[in-house]
Amino acid sequence: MLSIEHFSKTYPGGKRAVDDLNLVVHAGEICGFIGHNGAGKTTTLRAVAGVMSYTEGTIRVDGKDLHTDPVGAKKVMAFLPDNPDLYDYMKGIDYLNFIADLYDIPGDDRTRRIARYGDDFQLTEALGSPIGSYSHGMKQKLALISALIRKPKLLILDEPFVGLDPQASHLLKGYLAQLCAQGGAVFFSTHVLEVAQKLCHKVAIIQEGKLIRYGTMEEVVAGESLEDVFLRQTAGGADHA
Amino acid sequence: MRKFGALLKVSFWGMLYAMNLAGGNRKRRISGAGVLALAGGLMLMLSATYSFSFSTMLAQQGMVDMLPMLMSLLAVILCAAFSLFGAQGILFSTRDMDLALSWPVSPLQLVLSRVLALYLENLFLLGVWMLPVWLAWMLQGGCTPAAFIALPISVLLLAFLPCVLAMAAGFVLALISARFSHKALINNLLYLLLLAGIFAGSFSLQGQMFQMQSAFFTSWPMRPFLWFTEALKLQDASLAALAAVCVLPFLLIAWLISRQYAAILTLLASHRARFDYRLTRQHSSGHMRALIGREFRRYFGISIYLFNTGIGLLLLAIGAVAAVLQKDQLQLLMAQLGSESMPMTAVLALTVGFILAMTQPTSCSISLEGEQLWILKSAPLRPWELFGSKIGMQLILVLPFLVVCVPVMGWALGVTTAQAVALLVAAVAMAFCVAPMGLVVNLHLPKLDAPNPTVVVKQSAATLVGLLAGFALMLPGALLFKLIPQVWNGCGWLAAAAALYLTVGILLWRFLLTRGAAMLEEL
Repeated sequence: MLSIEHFSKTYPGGKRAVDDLNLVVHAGEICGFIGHNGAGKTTTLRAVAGVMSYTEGTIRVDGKDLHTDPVGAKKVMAFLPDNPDLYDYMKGIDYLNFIADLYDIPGDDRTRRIARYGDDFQLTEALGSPIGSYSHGMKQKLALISALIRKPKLLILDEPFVGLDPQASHLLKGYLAQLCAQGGAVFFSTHVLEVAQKLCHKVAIIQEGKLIRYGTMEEVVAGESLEDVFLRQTAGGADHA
Repeated sequence: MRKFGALLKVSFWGMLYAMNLAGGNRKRRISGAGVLALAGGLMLMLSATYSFSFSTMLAQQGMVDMLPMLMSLLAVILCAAFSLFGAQGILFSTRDMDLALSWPVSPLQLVLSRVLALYLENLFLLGVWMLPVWLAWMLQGGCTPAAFIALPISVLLLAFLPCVLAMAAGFVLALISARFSHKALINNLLYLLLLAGIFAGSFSLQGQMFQMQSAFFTSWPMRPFLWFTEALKLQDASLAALAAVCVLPFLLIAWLISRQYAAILTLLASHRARFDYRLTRQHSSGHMRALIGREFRRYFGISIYLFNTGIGLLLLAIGAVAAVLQKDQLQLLMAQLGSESMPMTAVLALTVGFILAMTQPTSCSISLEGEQLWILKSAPLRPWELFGSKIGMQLILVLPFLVVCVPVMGWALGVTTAQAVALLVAAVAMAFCVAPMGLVVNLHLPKLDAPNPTVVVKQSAATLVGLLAGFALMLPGALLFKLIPQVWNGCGWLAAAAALYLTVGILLWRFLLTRGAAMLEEL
């Protein structure tokens, strides 16, 4: 579903944020992406989502190259940044309709999906209010709903559990598992290693732009906790951003 | 005092950063300095043109001391108009407000530090404006070269005056609109009322100025300008009076704002949230309709965006109505001026060209996406859809005004039907050229990290360069008028201009689809 080959990103000024990253997430897999602040997680996720340009490497989503067929690749995925800034001047329902229009979701389908996810996340009754009146958690939920109503094949999430209440976090984990059971894939970054260990089939550890461990969860943790493995692997490499 | 100094420092660097004069790379700083130099140069040129022609005229009537009075009045009006929409944004819609209000500083210190940007902006414009005035005045014997030492201090004081006017307007508007649930709508209506008042006041002022009524020059509203003139002549009492009349109201209005500051900010930040929404069947629409709808929502939701880029259309509509109401007088005037003067088609083309150059929502449209640009960049949109929606919004806004106002003005001013049609075609062609041009400018000079829309709309390099590029677009039209004024009964040059604008518009569109798409990806 997602294949990243020799991806590198150097920012103006010379900082190499990601260096020769190779990674594959197959259909039906949830891949956790972990690393210290500034390790290159967000840069990678933004490049995969088509939000940030890159010149080195190849990224394919569902077989579509992000460079040669960006529209085709974006059609089958949904991206959620770590702090989703939404259009404050729109009502929640207007934002969902706007997104649904961009993804060509028919009226009946969007109504059904909005009702389902809106009710599950307990946001339906607030959809008539401007996004500017939402709390951080409500915005996060709205952004999640806008991603889920697309029925994406690949979900790219940057710190999706930050700001969510326990109930919404639980729901989200269920949806991620469900998406994978239906043949989709999830690639997400997190600092909550317990969640990553429970949820992910695969895990990738990145440090200073380089992938230092990557494999199935069983291979990487080998009977230990992910936290222990992560701390040992990345010892001395924190906060080089 | 140390805290206030720290606040001022932060505001000052924030302003420099917003204007691309600090931070970022060298290219960014050079572009910021270039834009500032361009704005200063423009003010200098305008001021020099008026100062030297007025000084000659006034010297002949033995009224050369009226020059600094008139020019400082003009400068204050110009600066106040420039700051009017900015003051509300600078004071009341900055992203770091929650943080700032939590600091252990008084609201007055906070307000004063926030308006520093406004004051420095006015100081720069006034300073540049007054240099040619002082020179023309001195050359006509109004003052001695030694009086130059009084110029900086007098300008430092006078620069508070436009701030007072803009802050007062911004404060009152925020105070009222904060109390309504539809804040943007109320704010827009209030701005409309304010503009109507300014237009009415300007017409009345203009009438009195041109009649050179002595009562006008000694009236109370003119006192600060009289004291300014006398201060330039090194009269200490007038300098003290000028200081009092400029600084005290500034402090007073800042104090009044600070008394209500947290309350207004809280009200402005609060939205009426409802939790009774019932989901009904939703309907789908195409990409373009969704995108254009979003552009319009944002356009009418941000007052400064609406008025700064839409004031030209308002002027066009007012001009058309005024032309119809004063049709007979205008035609009589044209007959008196005779064929020696500029043909009416050229006057109308100049007016419409000026309006179109001023009406460029696209020149800050990408910058206004700000932190929300990720939504569009991650969506499966082709570049033509994204750019097309922004251009489409501008054209949907502009074209109805052109289609109605240009023929009406043409009829009122007695141009032939063929000339009116040619004018309309040229105007529409220019609109098709200005819209993509604004996007090209904004792609080259993006400002995605602005603390509020005011910085993007009022202070960003793209807005100013877009405006200047719009004026520059009028030059080929003027050249064609000079070369072929009589071809096809005066329609030939308009047709040629239309063809030229359409060609440039197509080239700009092609640029957007190729290089522009890559530039957008880089943002």
